[in-house]
Amino acid sequence: MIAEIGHIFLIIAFVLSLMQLITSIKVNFISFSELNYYALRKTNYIISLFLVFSFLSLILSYAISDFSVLNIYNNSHSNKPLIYKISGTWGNHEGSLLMWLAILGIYGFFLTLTTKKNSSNFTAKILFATNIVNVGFIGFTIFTSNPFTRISPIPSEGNGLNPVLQDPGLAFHPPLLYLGYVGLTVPFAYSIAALLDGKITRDWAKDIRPWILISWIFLTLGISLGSFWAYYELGWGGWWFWDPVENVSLLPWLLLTALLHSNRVTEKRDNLKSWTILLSIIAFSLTLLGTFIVRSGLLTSVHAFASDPARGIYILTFLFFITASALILYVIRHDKIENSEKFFLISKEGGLLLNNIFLCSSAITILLGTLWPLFVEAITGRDISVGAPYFNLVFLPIIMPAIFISGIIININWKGNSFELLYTKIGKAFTIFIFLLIAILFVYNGPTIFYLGIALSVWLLISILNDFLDKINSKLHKRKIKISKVFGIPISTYGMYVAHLGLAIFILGVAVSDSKKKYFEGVLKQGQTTKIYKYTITLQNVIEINQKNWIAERGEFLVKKDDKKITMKAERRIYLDTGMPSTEAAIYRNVFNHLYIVMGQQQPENSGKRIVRIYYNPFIVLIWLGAFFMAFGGIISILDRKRKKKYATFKN
Amino acid sequence: MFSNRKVNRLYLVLLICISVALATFFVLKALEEKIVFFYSPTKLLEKNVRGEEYIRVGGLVQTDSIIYEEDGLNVIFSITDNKNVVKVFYIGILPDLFRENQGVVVEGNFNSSNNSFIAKKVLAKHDENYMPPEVKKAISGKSK
Repeated sequence: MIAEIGHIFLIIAFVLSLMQLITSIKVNFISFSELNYYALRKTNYIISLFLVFSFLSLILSYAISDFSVLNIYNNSHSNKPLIYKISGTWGNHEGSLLMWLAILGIYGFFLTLTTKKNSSNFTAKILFATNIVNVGFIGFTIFTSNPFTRISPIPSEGNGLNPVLQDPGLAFHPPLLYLGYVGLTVPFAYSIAALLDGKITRDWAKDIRPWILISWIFLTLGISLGSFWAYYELGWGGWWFWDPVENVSLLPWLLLTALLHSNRVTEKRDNLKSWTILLSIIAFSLTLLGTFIVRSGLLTSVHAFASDPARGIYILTFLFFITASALILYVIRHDKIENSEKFFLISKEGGLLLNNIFLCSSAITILLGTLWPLFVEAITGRDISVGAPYFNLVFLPIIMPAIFISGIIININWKGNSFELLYTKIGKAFTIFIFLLIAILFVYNGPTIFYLGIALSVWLLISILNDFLDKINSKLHKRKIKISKVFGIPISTYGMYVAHLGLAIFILGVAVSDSKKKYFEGVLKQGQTTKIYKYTITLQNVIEINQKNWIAERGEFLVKKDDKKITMKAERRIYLDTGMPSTEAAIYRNVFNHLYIVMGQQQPENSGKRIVRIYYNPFIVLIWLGAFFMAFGGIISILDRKRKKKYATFKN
Repeated sequence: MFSNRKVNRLYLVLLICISVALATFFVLKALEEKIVFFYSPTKLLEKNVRGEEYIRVGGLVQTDSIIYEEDGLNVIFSITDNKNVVKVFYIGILPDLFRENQGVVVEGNFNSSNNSFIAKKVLAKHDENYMPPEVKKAISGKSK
């Protein structure tokens, strides 16, 4: 019953959004009428509600294990904790698409709400663009991936959920990621509206800023949470594998990061307008491309979604339609959008542009590496794979200078800024830093990545500190710091500091964990001991565990370091509903370092010999901590806008 | 002679050209060296694959072919595309979903003198119903 309601809601939402599309075409291109515009706005709220309620009814159906729904029968089991029944809703293709729609609805709701103040002419164009996206995605869900398809006779039990997904990670990772992806619809719609209108104002850049930030924050959190999940769940001891699905999430992130910065130039300097528009379009297209790659099963990946060619073709058509028409529109109309201010190369805007180029180039290399197997297969018919060695070789040399430059950009001013001015500000710090780098190079003979990573991280810290000290420095009395100035710095600048501090922390984590990790793989029998780093590890015993939905062998490891003793528990679980095995790594955290133990099966059977894999990952926690700081910096930046707005209304 | 704006534009275009050229250079160089070719067991035996070439081979794990050595660390198994068989030597923990008749992909080097494969990595996917597209093709014999 609940499922029927959800299905009907979804169909109503589709019909309404089709009507919306017709109305918005009429309003925008045939004749504008206040009544139609009013209807357009109100109906948008209604569509949002239907989408959200449709999703809620699927969640409810999952919670009560309604196996008359094919999707629930395929992906759930009554013998499962409630939390995994609920999060299982989006643990599959159809359910996750409905979540995508619900999020689209939520964004649509707030977009309609916040555009109240804009001119109706412009808003109508924004809604035109979002309605195309609505129709495309709701149609995709209904026609190729309906989560409400019924089966008869009704099975008494479901097939169960993949054990990898029975984890709190599933509750948060996809929703956060989707909140990031779908959020890109808004800058995209604003860009289409700007192109149709043929002009943008400074308010345009200001208006899309919080949307870009929100998208970016969610995407940052979503990707890093996914990385953390893969780290502890898959038992491979690593945090990033350059898997196609990871890559297609990194692509929009890189573009979004570029967009975040170019939009700043548009907002502050009324410049790079058409570049900002182009970035919004491409970033959005890349999320579609990502969806296409993941859903079509074209590329081999850890995210093993059941593939269906019909879905691939639909998404590809939609992707082609959206991207092609947006780009054609861009080519025809972008000339109309003029930059009113002069562009200075040696300035913050110049630096940001340079960084944008680096970010986009790095994205292109990832895109190439990800799609290369498809090209090669299409042309030569040979199957190949492009893995981590390629990405490390290509991506790192492009992204590292970008990070280095960002330190300088933090310190450079908007508008024309001579080299001399720049030198007085950061020249000394820069010279000392470079001198130290070269000096260390003479005595250093460790891994390159360690050296470069630490250098970049330190450089970012120096840059942030240097800029901060400069800003609170009293200009009248040289070298006197005025504490009162601390409060004069805009909150968004603090947001920027925190985000880049996060980047520095992240890089430190990557550099140290990558080059200083220790690894052991070998056979341990009960009572045997091995040593890794400063830890002595003994396999004490292996016991059997019986839970409601899984059984496991649990290896208890006694870990000793100096006088400290702890017990770590690594498991090999068999999930009863699917019969699938799953490895649960034991992780012990010591400040920022992880000791990570994976226990294999007995080889040969009943021999009592077990392969054990142990990783010592120093500073690895900093990777996710850094990402969290980046997102936190974004949140601080959003807060700033609110204060400014309040101030503005107060003034009026 | 030129306006400031034009000079700026020129710098910009130059910068973009240089970075694109650099990127292309890195990409081409990397693609040349770092791609890994995929073979089905049949293809592997047909073609002369040099021992130093790092490759992927995919197929089904042959029934009754898994042997664990007494030391517990070494595993020997065979991969088949239902036509030909390749013997694989591997040291380490096998993936959770590694079992007989399951599609797997192994990565490593082929020794043509005794038709054996030394695997550095064994990949099995995280869904028992899922089969890597390459393996599917290898088994159906469509792999070129």
